[in-house]
Parts: sequence; C-alpha cells; structure tokens
Amino acid sequence: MFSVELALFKERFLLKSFLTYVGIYPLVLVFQFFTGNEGAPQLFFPALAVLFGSSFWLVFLNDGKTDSYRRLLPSLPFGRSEIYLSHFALRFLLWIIGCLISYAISFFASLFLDIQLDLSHVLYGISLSFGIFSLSNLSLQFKPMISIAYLGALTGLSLGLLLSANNLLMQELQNIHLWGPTLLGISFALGLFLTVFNGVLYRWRRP
Amino acid sequence: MGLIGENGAGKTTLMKILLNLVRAEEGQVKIFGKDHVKEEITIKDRIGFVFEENPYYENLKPSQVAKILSLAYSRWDWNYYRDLVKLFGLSEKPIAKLSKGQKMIFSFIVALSHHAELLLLDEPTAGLDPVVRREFLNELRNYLAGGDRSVFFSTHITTDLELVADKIAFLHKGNILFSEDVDELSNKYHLVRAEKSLLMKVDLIGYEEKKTHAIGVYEGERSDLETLPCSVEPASLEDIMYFATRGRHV
Repeated sequence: MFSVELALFKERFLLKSFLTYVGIYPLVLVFQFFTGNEGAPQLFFPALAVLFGSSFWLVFLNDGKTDSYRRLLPSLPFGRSEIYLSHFALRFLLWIIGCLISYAISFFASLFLDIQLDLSHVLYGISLSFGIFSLSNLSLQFKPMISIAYLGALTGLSLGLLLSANNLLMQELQNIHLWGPTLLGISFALGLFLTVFNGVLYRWRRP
Repeated sequence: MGLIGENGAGKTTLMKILLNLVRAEEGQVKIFGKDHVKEEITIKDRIGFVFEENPYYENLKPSQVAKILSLAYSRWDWNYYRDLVKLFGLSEKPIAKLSKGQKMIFSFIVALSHHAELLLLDEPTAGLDPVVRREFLNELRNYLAGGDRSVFFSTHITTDLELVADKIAFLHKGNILFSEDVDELSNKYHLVRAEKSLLMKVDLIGYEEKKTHAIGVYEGERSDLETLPCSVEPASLEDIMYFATRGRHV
C-alpha cells in the first residue's frame, strides 16, 4: 500500500489545483515577513511550520473528482486499516520533513531578518504544526472538493489566527504556563487522540 | 450471472456490499467461499470491477493509472494489458478527456489485466456505441471461456445479458424476485396476449391493457395456457422485468 501511495505522489501533480486553492498562502508569508512589515518576526518559524503542518500543498494531488480514500483505494486489495496507516505514515514523514525545511528556511532567513529561533519558539511552532497536521488528516473522510476546501480553510484560519493575533497567542500560552515541552506534550496527546479517532472513523464508516 | 432491476432496486448497492464499500444491514457475504470482510484483501486481489462512474484519477493517462494499479494487484499482467489496449484502441490521453465509453473500456481492461477470477460489472455497457459494445461482450465471452471464472453483471440492457449470462437474478426494491438459469426463464415465463376479459382471469405477474386486447406475463408451464384462446410466446427479460415491476396496470 505504501508503494501505491508513493506512486500516487509521483504520478499525480496538479499545479492548477495548488495555485487555485492554496498557492496564496506562501505569498501571505512573503508579504508578512519580507516587505518591511515586521510585525512579529519571532512567528516566522511557527508560521512556516504551521503552513507545512496543514499539508496545504497536498492539494496538488486532488483533482476535485477522484474519491481516492473513500472509493478507489478501498476497492483495491487493501484493508482500510492498511490504507489509513499508509496515509498517516507518509504524511507524518512529510510533516517531519516540512518541519526540517521550515527550520532550515528560518535559519537562513535569520541571517538577514530579526527572526528568533530559540528553543521555546521552535517548540511552539512544532506544537502548533502538529496540532494542525492532525486536524488536516481528517480530510480523508471528505469528498474531494470538500477535502480541498477543508485543507484550504484550515491553512487560512490557522495562519490568520497566528499572524493576526501577532504574538498574543504565544503570550497567553506563556501566561497560563502552557509552554515549551508542556505545550508539545499536549499537542502530541491531542494529535494522537485525533489520529486514533480518525482511524477508527475511517475503518468503520461507509459513506 | 446477470443482475437486472429498475433504477434504485439496489444493484449498485449490492456491488458495493460485495466490495465492502458499503456495510450490509443483515446477512453474510461469502466470495470464493470466504467471508468478504475477514478475507477482504485476498478476495479483492481476485476481483476485477467496473463501475458506471469512472473511479480513476481523471488527470492521469491510462498508462499512468495502470502503473499505480499494477502495484496493488499481485497478478498484474502488463502484456495482457497492452494487448487489450491495442484491441480496444484505447487512447493515451488524460482520462478526463476520454469518452464515457472509453473510460468504461479502460476500467474493463484494468479489471481483466490482473487475471481476476470474478468480475463485478455495474452497468458496463451504458454509454458504449454498438461496435464497442459488441467487442466488449465478445471479450467478456472470451474471458468466461477461459476456465473457472465468473461475472456478476448488472445492466438495464437486458439483451446484453441474453448474450452472455447463464443465470439471471431480478432485484426489485432490495429483494431478489427470482434467480434462474436463462434457459429456465424461457420455459417458465410466457408473454400472453388475449382479450381483456380473459386475461383478467389468469394469474399473471403483471399485465397491461391495450385498446383491443391485453398483454401480460404468465409464470408457469406453457401447457397451463394451451386450452385458452390466447397467443403465447416466450417472454423476453425485458418483458419479465417490465411486467414484474409494474404489476397489473390499466
């Protein structure tokens, strides 16, 4: 099943879907951080990590018509548990790579921008990113077009909340002592719950 | 085996149940003598399917989809795939740009290319032009001639079933009205034409009144009707389906 998932990634690439639905988000970050509007440079890494965590770019695999996870793949010789585990494993791997890329970009950007990359901001970014990643995985429950809308909205909302609140969200979390490893632990616990819930739902639901 | 029934009778739902895409409310499904849920993966590896709607990635070309599917099936045969593509003249362009008939043919080629022992075909001939339809049915006959293979074929085009099926099941509002050998059907169901007053007295599965006479389908021995002043001929599948579905209609 994992090889089928990888082949899907290789064979399918819909630049049009990507540009139409989610291509705007990387631009938002460029405008936010590279046009002199330095509202909260410490949010650069968290914003990038959230962007990758939302799997927004996976929209390029979705043509809006093919019901891969609810119709096609379950018709092939795969069990639903296998499909779900493979779906999760590949995306989890991509999430880790996304976090590393986010960190690398942030590191290079920090050479000429006032970007803070201390441990607390990195943990904050990873925590938020994993939460959004877990929510984004629910997209396999939906019809193709709804899935695109869901991923687009999730990315837009999470980035919007993160950036518009400036540093308020981070400060509030600090005030209630949900910070650093605690926040990361909560995020992973919630993510685990969502992942199990999503898997059980996918296994038992027959749309 | 052919499966007939009016729209909404449950034909597609039954196909989905067999593929475990829909859960059955009651009863048990066994395919190749195995539970279709417990042995899902091994069973599906031996099943080919053709849905009325194309389930494959619309932006990909047939060979790209085939490349992905070849990873899923343990007995995928590229040579057979290429032969079938050639036979049906399938275009190598994105599936979205193929005609409805070509999409159906592609699904059929995929279903055959992994040497499935059971084909589930849901309205496969809908949208095919007469030439391609004939080629499709010929290939289906070749497939069936190849040995221990079965086809479960739902359609509205009952003449297709008369050409390939040896058993027919009639589904009506989720229930099987009958499941018979094709040869038995022509012995068992008769199209009867007679005066209205006469047909009213015969126990028909359905009839229809015309201006001068009435017409209906009788289930039973032909000899039962020999003493009556009526014309009797073997009922076609379409006749049986029509009258059984509509019942007594004035």
